[in-house]
Amino acid sequence: MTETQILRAVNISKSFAGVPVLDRVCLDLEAGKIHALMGENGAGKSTFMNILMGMFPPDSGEIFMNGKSVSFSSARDALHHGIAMIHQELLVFPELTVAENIFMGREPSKSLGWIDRKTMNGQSKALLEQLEMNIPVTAKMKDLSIGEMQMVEIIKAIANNASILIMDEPTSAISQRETEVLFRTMQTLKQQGKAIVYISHKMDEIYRLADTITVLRDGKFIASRSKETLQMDELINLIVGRELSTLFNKPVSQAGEVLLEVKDICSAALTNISFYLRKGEILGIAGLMGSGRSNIAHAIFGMENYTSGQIMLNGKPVKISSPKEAIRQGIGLVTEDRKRYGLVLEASVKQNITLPSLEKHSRGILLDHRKENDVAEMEIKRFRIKTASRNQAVGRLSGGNQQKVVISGINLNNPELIILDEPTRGVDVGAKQEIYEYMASLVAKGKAVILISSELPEILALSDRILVVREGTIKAELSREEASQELIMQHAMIQ
Amino acid sequence: MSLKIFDKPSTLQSNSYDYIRKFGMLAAFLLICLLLSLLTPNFFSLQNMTIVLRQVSINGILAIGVTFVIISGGIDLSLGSVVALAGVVAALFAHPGDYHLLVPVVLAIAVGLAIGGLNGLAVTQGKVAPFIVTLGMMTIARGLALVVSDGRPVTNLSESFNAIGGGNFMGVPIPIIIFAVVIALASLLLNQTRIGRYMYAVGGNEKAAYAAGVRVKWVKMIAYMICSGLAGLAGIVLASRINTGQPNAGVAYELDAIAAVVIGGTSLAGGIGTIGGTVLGVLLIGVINNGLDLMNISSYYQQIIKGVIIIAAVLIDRKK
Repeated sequence: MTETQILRAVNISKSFAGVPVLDRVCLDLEAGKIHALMGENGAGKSTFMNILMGMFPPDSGEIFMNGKSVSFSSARDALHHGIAMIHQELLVFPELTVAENIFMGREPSKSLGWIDRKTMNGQSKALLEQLEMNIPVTAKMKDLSIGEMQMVEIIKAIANNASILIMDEPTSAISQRETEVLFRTMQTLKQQGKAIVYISHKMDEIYRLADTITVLRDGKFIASRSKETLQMDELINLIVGRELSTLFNKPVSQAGEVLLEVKDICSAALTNISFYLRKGEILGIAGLMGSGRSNIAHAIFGMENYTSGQIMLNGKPVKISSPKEAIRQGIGLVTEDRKRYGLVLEASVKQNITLPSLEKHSRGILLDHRKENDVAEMEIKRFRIKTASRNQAVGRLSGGNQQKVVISGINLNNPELIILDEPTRGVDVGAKQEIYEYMASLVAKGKAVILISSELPEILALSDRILVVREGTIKAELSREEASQELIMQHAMIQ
Repeated sequence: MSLKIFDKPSTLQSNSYDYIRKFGMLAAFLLICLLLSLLTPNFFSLQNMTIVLRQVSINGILAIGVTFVIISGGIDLSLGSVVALAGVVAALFAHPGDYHLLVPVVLAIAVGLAIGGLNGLAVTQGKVAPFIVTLGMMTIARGLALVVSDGRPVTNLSESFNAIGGGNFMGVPIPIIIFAVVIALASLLLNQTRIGRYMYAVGGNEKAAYAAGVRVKWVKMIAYMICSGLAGLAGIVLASRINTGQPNAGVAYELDAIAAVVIGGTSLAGGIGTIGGTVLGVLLIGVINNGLDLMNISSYYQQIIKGVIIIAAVLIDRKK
């Protein structure tokens, strides 16, 4: 234990609904150092930070601050201990002034509880000047840029005497110029002896700012190294390096004629997206969250408008303006966020399975309950959905079984093209395997599959070709033979 | 009342808690009936039961209509005004010797459907919050009722029109028959048809329903049109019963209807609810009003008691 060490988290573990999300993760924070926390989406970074923030307790493990064991009952409690987080999505009060935001919850008061505005504004001004910020303290928060709001949040944390600042992808929504200001501020904070946890996917930032880099993968602690001893190649390896051998390997399939052709699609989120997909082929789309990979799926499925470009199915141009039309054209989409876009959680397993294909289980406008029940039972057996009964509310199923319900529902429309967006997120190993087998069975029958995933081993094991998307454009197309995790990550992350 | 309508929690979720909740409400209803029949000698008589049913029929028709809107994730505050507007329109065409009885009936329901269509359009195309849209429509429809009637009650209605609210068919008051038919058709629509299933899906998770290929806007339109169309029907029954097209009638009827729906276990968040529950809510409000009447308790207290029941019902609902 060194002099400057202010926080030490030891063997922190956490499971949600029986699925381990964090497995004995450790972290040492030193005063006056910037500590980068890296890992793929779903590696457990957010959960880990939420535990440090007091949002929920760990299942096991201990946190020491300045040598003493601590446990936080709430975010407020963690703040009292000096831990503050600058969230990716800023939590500000837009209609209040900068000073009011900084002093929210602990306003200086005069007798009778009147707010002492003079003191509040004066202290806010001093804090702003300390970081060379030129924002009037009486400006309303909503009139500030996102970068400025972020600064106010940082100042708020400092005003709370925070000694540890956690920053979650702070540069994802701000301009280059504001990024420079932020980095200068971080250096100042560092000199003042604050410890900063910096979460980012951007390699250049990490190498510019960080003193130490900790890597998490699949909820496990992988390594913690000083920046000088860690080359970028090796870092990428640490981030992605999973054992490929344990994964499913797709049998080679016979690719047929071209089913889907996307030509120069442009939209708010996409620029000049062009690619094709043959029958019997699995096309992987890799990229970080927010890279535009899901927007491609939404554009094809009629959930998002595109401003120019063309989509061709079987050589004919099609105009798909709604999911209903997409389904009619033989397209199925397993959406990324099944709770938001995939399931009616309070409805039963049966109702969720039959919802996309309800017309097939009706006579005229009347539902054919018997047929619907039979179909649901068959699907529950076929996809091995573990549920008490077909009438169970789907929200009570495990993640893997929920996902199987979604897939089964889409499969009932017998689509020619199936797009699966993060189909195995939050899904246990067994269900994962079954989803892979399902995809393989699709291409064996001559259907076409698009697999969008953050899990590179999955993309590599299943895809015939891989597109890498960054900032709304396709940065690379890799063949199955040449693709590797490192290569994909380079295209996905590095400018 | 048969238990049949409760053994399918109309589609959605059949976990044991729901049964307890539903049967709990049924048990509470039966308990209150038992209590009232002990306290007042006249409560449990065929004659009084008929009175209760006739009294609740208008609120019942409205409550069933708004159940569709609420299950599909919306709300309708314009019902009371639509009752008045439809009643006035019907009355204007129901003077003795003017038109066939079908004319006022069809026109009043058409007015209701049209208002529902406008509500639906504003909600789906204009993307205005249902609360705001129907709050505005509440004023608009009331204003229209006053305009078409020149602010005066429309009287001198034909015998055949007055029979809708006042007459009997095979000994049963016609409003009760209408209410029963509405219950039957509504159950059929909600439980046995695709559109009914889609209403649950849209109210439960609009985005997921859309991604599953459901025409969400269409479903919402239909819900609003059913709701206002039934309000038009209720307007006919009311105008006929009071032998007057009264432009000031039906004030705050929507609140009674929504109260019955909520007491019946339908979630204001959408996606959960049953016609059976709504009927139970309507009856519960009805018997309590009736029982308190029989006990000579002032209607002032009745309002307080009704309010307490609404809040209690939702409290039970929340305890998940």
